[in-house]
Amino acid sequence: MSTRLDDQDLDEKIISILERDARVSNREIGRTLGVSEGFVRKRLKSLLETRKLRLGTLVSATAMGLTCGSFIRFRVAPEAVSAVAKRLSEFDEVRFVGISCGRFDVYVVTLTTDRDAMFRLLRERVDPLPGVSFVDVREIMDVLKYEPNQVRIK
Amino acid sequence: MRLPLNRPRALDDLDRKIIERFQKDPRVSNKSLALEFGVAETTIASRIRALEENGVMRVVALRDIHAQGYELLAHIDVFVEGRAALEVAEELAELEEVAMVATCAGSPQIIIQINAKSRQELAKVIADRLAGIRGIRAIESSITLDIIKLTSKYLE
Repeated sequence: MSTRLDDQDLDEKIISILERDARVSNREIGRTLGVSEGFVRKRLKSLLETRKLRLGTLVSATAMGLTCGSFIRFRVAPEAVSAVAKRLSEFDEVRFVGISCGRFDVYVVTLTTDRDAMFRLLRERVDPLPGVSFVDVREIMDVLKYEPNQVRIK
Repeated sequence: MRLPLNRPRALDDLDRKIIERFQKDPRVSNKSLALEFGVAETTIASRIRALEENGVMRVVALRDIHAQGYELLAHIDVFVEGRAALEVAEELAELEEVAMVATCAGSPQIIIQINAKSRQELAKVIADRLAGIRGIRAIESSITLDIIKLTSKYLE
């Protein structure tokens, strides 16, 4: 049992090294933690396969010219909710899609080059979706806090 | 001439190609990038360093929100009265349970995201933490029943 706890502990340590820089080699991680390269490779493979972790490249939205963030919230007919959510999740500009309860049925966060691109997304690709009865748009002025390294791995 | 480090400069084609390549394979080696783009490995290394130091790119491990134990994700509209919304937003940003704070034009002035490990925890954040902040007149919550998409491509 103590071995298993040690493994979990090592997993956490591997993750925290990779959270700072995912390009650190398995060999280097092994050296830091005093385990073999093979062990690190095996643990990392398991973390990736069980979808606890994903390695990714985060890019500055500003540097990429994406300056307009918006919350777009929808009221959708119950039978259409899942199709609308799925369709929205296919758009590149859409970073988050949740099916929610409360005043809105589908909750979306978008990131676009500018307001015009957001409007075009709404007019050309969202408005035609069947079942959407109400759209509430909140353009973000300023982001004071945001944790980019949390994702949903499907 | 060498550009001083930390001075942000416009991205060129090579920078963009490096970023794109990392988006496909975060652990691609400098050596294979050098071969692929026909430049020296040292050029690749210094480009990557500049991209990282200028805050343009970071190659990192991303954690699954459910695997971390966050079962409940709530977006909350915060309606502010009698106090500068930015002050309220700053106080909200200090709360550990609050994962995201954004200010908006109009009302609600602030939208936040809370990640909670249970219903009880969410209730506690709302009752103990939000209620303690002066200037919050009302809140309206949307509880996520199912996350269809939550990606991270961007640093900010």
